[in-house]
Amino acid sequence: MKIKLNINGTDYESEEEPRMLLVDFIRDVAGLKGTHVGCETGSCGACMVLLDGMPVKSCLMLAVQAEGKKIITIEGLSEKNGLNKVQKALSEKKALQCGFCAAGFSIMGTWISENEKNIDDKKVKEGLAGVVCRCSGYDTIIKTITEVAKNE
Amino acid sequence: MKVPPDFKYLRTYTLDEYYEKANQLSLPLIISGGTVAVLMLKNRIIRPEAVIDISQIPELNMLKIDKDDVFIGANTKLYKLKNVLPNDSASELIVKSASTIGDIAIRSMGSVGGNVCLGDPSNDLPVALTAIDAQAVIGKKDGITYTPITSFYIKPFKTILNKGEILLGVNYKMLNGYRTSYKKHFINFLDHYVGIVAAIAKIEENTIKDFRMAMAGEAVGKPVKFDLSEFSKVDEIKTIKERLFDYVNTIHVENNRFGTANYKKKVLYTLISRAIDEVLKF
Repeated sequence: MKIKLNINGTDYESEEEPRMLLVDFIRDVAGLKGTHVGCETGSCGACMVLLDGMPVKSCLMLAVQAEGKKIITIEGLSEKNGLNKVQKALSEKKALQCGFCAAGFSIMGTWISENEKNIDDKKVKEGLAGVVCRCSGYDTIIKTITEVAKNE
Repeated sequence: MKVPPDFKYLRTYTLDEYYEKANQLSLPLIISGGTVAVLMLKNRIIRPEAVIDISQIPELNMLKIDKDDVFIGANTKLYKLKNVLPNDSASELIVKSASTIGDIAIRSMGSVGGNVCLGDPSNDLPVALTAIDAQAVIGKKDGITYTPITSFYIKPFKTILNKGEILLGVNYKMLNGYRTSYKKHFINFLDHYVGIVAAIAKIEENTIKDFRMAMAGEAVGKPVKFDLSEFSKVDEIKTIKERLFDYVNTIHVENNRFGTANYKKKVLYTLISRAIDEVLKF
């Protein structure tokens, strides 16, 4: 079947099987490799994207389910003049180590900073609960995202 | 790399279209958010000939509040509940329960209908809905039926929904001035809840005006509602606990990979005890 998706403002159309997962469409059809395939069970958050402004795990969704919605990947977070505030802060504070979880923390961190009010550590931790960092650098990640969100 | 088995994908835009398609197929998989369904497909636990996507059916996306009656459409996202439900105690219990499901990214995809219809003893909403005496609103080609949530489950992973039927949503009465409690115990590495307890009570001058409680989880199977009508005094807490512990002792709990029967019963005692303390103690 023909699947047509809007990713980071660009339309992609491709003849695919309905069983294709959203994460595979993003990586293999759109060629956006910043969204990673991690645990494949919805636990690690490496495949996180924004769907109509809400964070979702693209490994737990069929590509065809995302038709008609606006998808933003980690590549789409970047602004015209470079990284967005969360990405820039994560980079400057060296909060991410191997970087495999970058999509999850950048997407979730951006969503938290734009949507949550009265930010504190607890809210940030709750927001980041669905993203796993196997290098276990949580402390700096949480501090960095809290700082950015508080200044938003 | 986990890839779902091959299936036919059918998107429906109206209930009539759904009834027509669902009645033609032998065992279709119904998806709205699809979080658990897609995971089951990827693990090849299910191999449906077709997947019917109901996310575009407008009737399933509705939230209706009529006096003290609340109807939550099956497609309502779990994350949305805290922003759209009224400010009463029954809704508070539902929100408490929903906010413990997965993480924000899971709740922003997962739907009320999916959580209710799967019939997994680990699912949260069925326990809260049982405690507040909610009803399942079931649609079929020739009309709508209302079934108490307590009668909706036959056994784990089996509901009363027949071929061609659909859960339109859940319906409950608002309750005001109640205290609520929602407790559960999780085994992380097995991704399963041993026990879940939901309680809601109205107390006036040391007298229990209304007290409702339900439990579920792997130890229990389908949700169970307690009969607490005989208790009227807050100072009977000890007796209430003993009575419920006695009840837990009568239910069949299996020794399995989630723990021994003894361990699971102790988890239930603890959850019940904490929930009772939270709603009855001042």
